[in-house]
Amino acid sequence: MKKMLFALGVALLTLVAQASAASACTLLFYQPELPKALREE
Amino acid sequence: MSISEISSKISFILKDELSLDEDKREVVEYSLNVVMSITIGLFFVIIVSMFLGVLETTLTITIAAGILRVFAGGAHCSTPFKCNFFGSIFFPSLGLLTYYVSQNVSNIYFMLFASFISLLISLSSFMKYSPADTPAKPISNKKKTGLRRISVTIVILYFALAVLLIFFKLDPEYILSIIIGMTWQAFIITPTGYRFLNKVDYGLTWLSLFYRKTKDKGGVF
Repeated sequence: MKKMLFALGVALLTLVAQASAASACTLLFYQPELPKALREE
Repeated sequence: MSISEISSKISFILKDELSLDEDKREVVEYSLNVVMSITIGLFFVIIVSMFLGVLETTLTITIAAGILRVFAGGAHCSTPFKCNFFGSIFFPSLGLLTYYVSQNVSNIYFMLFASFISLLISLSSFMKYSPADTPAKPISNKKKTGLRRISVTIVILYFALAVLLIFFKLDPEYILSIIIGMTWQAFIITPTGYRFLNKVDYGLTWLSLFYRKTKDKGGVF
């Protein structure tokens, strides 16, 4: 059960990261460095 | 402990629990950083603006600028703390200023004039500088044209909404808030906007060093 919740959390966070990567920057506040896996070469 | 440190710690816990590879862990850390920064930032903006009694105007400005920022980009401070500190002082102050201006000048012609001037400033800024990226998040040329089109469309929609609200005689503080949010975002993507935020960043670094020094010496007084 714990593992399933963690997996769901990671899936949601990946979705947020991909949406953030597709935009120009985050909504108002700090913009952390985009990880290599999300960068477009 | 900072937001970045907490994000990193949680991402390593998730990596161990779910046997994630390093790329996936970095994506989770990035996402946690973004989510926490936005949540904490908005929380403090709400608290400060509630304290000043200008929650509605501040939130309208923040949302108007925030939606545009997603597509237009713009300058940022160098750490989550500085970004959130600046945001939670700046946006409520802008909300307060907007509230007082709207209380004193609610003339329909003034509102139309302000909307039109804001439209001109915003269009020229967004067409020239949008989307404005940062070294932390470079934008590929392929994506730039699309993001520029979306941000210009949002500016036109904001203007149309402002004019519509003027004719429907909605409370002028909301109309001014939309205009101010749009104009602020138009400013923060320009080279002057970047220089301004660099100075703010430098000032906040100086302030935190001063605070640490006085704390080590036993206080300011």
